[in-house]
Amino acid sequence: MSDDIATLRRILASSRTIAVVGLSAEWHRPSFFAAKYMQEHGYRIVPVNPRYTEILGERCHASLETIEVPIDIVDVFRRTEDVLPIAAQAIAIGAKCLWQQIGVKNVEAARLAEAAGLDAVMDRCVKIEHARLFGGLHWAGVNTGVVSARRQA
Amino acid sequence: MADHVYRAETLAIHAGQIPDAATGARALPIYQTTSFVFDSADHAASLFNLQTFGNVYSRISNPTVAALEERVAALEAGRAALASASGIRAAIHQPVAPTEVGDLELTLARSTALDGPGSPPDVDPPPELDPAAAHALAMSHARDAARPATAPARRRHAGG
Repeated sequence: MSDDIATLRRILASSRTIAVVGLSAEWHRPSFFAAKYMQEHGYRIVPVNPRYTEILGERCHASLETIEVPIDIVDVFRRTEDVLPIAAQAIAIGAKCLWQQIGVKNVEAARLAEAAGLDAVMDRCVKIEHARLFGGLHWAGVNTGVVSARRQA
Repeated sequence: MADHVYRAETLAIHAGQIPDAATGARALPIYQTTSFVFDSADHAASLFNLQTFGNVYSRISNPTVAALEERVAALEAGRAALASASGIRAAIHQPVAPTEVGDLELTLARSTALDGPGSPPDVDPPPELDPAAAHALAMSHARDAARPATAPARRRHAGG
């Protein structure tokens, strides 16, 4: 599993497009404001949710398979028991990382993704990790684990 | 690959501070500001809704204070720290932060001159009492309570 600072930093630094499976259009839902945060920090968000047609100004897809742009991260806001078929779809569309959000821990899905050469992250939030590794969370008094002599980008 | 584990000496100097983006300053700048600018009304809304990270007002958060907080949290191997400018604020935060609407905080003072050591009294009010009655009951218990000074205050849900 990809869980150390260097790997998480590499994944977030090298990725540009994030397909968010289970993204809500409700402003107060964590999936919405996490995706909005990532969009504001330069990532292209591709919403995946059959209930909506558009979220955050982007066309919403019913499933990963109809997305026509290359996807770097498949970010999963779904129940743990629903992740396995999403992992298979992520592999099929050539995604580079299967990212299961905080509280989502499907080990089988992560193993499947890793066996296909994808990075697999579990039980972590893209927004919190971005803030932890690239600044932001430093302003909240949180122990980020980051000690660096490099100027903040 | 596991994350690097730093010694206390390194954490004491560097944890919680990344060299300043604008100036490259290695030492921690002292941000003598009360207020912070917002990029847009939407950005301000996200900050006030706690949906994005950033500073609003120095009484709530400040980059210099945040560096101290993270440094202390790192040295103590904690998740996060909260620094306050006075003991009173710290004393208020400690019991208030974990409470929710409908919670009742019972705090018993103890006089070391009068009270001897002993097991804490049971001051939990029956759950059907309303907050005012629970308070009165707690006070009556408190009069002859012998409670160790280090025991945590008890919390009870009163109604709701």
